[in-house]
Amino acid sequence: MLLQILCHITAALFGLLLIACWWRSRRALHQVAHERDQARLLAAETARQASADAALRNEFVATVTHELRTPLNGIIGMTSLLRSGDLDPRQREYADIIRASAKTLAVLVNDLLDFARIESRHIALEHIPFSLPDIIHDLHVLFAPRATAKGLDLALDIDPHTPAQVNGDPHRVRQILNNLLDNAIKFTEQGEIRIACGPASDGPDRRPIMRLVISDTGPGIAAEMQDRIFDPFCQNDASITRRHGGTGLGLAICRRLSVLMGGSLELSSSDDTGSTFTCLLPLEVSQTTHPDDAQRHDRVTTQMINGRRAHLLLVEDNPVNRRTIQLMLEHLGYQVDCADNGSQALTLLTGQHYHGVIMDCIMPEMDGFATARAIRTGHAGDFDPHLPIIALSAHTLTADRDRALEAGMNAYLTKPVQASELAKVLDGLLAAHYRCDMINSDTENHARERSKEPS
Amino acid sequence: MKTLIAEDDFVSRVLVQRSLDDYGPVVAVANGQQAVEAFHEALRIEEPFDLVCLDIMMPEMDGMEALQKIRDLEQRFDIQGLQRCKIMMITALGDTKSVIEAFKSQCEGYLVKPFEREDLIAKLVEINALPLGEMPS
Repeated sequence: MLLQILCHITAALFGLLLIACWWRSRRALHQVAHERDQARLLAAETARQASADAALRNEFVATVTHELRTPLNGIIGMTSLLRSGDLDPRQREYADIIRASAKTLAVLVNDLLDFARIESRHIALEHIPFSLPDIIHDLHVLFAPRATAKGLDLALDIDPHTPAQVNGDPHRVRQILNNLLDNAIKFTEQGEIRIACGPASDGPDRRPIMRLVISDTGPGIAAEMQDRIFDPFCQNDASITRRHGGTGLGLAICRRLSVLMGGSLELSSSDDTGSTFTCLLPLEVSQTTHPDDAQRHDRVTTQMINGRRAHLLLVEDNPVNRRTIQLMLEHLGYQVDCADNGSQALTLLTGQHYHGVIMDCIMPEMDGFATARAIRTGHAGDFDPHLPIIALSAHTLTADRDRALEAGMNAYLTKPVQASELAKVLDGLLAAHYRCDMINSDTENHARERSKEPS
Repeated sequence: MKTLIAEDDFVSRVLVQRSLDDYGPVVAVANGQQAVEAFHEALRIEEPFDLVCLDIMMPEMDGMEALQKIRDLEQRFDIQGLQRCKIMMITALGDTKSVIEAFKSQCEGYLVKPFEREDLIAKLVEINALPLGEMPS
């Protein structure tokens, strides 16, 4: 009996022991799982915190940068007042130095603001049709004087298969090329800078990729520096910053913009062959065809400016007038795009190189006067702020004419406008602005052919 | 030329004021609300301003709103076309959106900070607030 009780007690104890062991191990397992969960939560929290920190930091930078402009305005402005007064040569030298330093600081502030916007994904990319060859031609015109002054060649290599129109953000594409070209000219002492553009092989999702290449015959970039060159505030050599100016943010901005657009920016360079920056961007071919494409072949005449077909923007809200004037201009030999209000016109001007604008004065949303003023500021987008503008108005009042001229338009025509009148004014303005004779190429050919005929 | 300046930052206000001192009386205020009141008062006593310089980011009432209110006042007083005063926005906001918005609200000129005295004078010549002869070389 006693033995039986002892056996029972032993069994019970053993059972208890087993239960205890099981419980302990279960608790240990729980503990591990719990700790693992904790770690996972912690990691998620850390990541969330990090991205929140990054957002906060970038917002902070953006605010600070903006706030920096106010005192900077005081320094630059007051220095200019000081310089306009009577100063002895030494004081003038001091004032000049303050002015130069403040201007450098202003460039740095602008770059920082841009960088902060990109980092915090605060930039909205445009998606509008634009012409890559147009942008490259514009930049060529812009940089050629600087290159020539240094004795450098600035060569263009535009693949004929480059689509005439692609969809994307022309402003940002221009910013990237602008920065790369600026660097190339800055660091190259002899030889040539080459701008090449053309289609690359399609991407994995069969999206067409455009290749933009800027190569130079400069000193090149050492292999160990090539990875770091796209980091913010990295220049090959600290003394370069002092010698050449710049903020050390340019390439960082370019790389980030390229990536933001779904593309890439890479460098290949060796110490003795110079540097080649290759930017690959997925830019789909624009399907919008110009309404005049179909008629292009049977047109009799073509107006040319510096070897390129003269391209005009017609801004007019009334559809009947718009079509009438468009046909008139096309008949005169111009390539014409249309916008039905001022805001739309400003968007188109940024995406495409136009040689001139023909603008109705009274329009809804944004009228012709306001649009002309905006164009003239140079802040309304990426285009020549001085391009010729012809006002079209239904009013014959002198006051209206004065208003148009005062808004910065170059000429004033009243509706209904005559083709001959339009042609005369356009020819005069375009020839003066582009310092060229308006060559009616086909008429000239006709004339040449006719001269061959026996009389 | 009678000028009204609205700018909350003291240094920027003095800068515009001193730059324009030579061209006639200058009234300077620190926000949009005060600018609209001063403009209204000047119209009432028939000594209107020829030029208004507006900062955009100001307390109480910002420059964009002041711009619209000033154009509304002119309409109420039946001042049209070239009779209207010239309005120049002077601001740290250089983005395309702000510029277009300002011109839609019928300003004549737009100057982005930081600027120099010569930049301001050149802009004023461009919008015909100052004669061509004043253009800085």
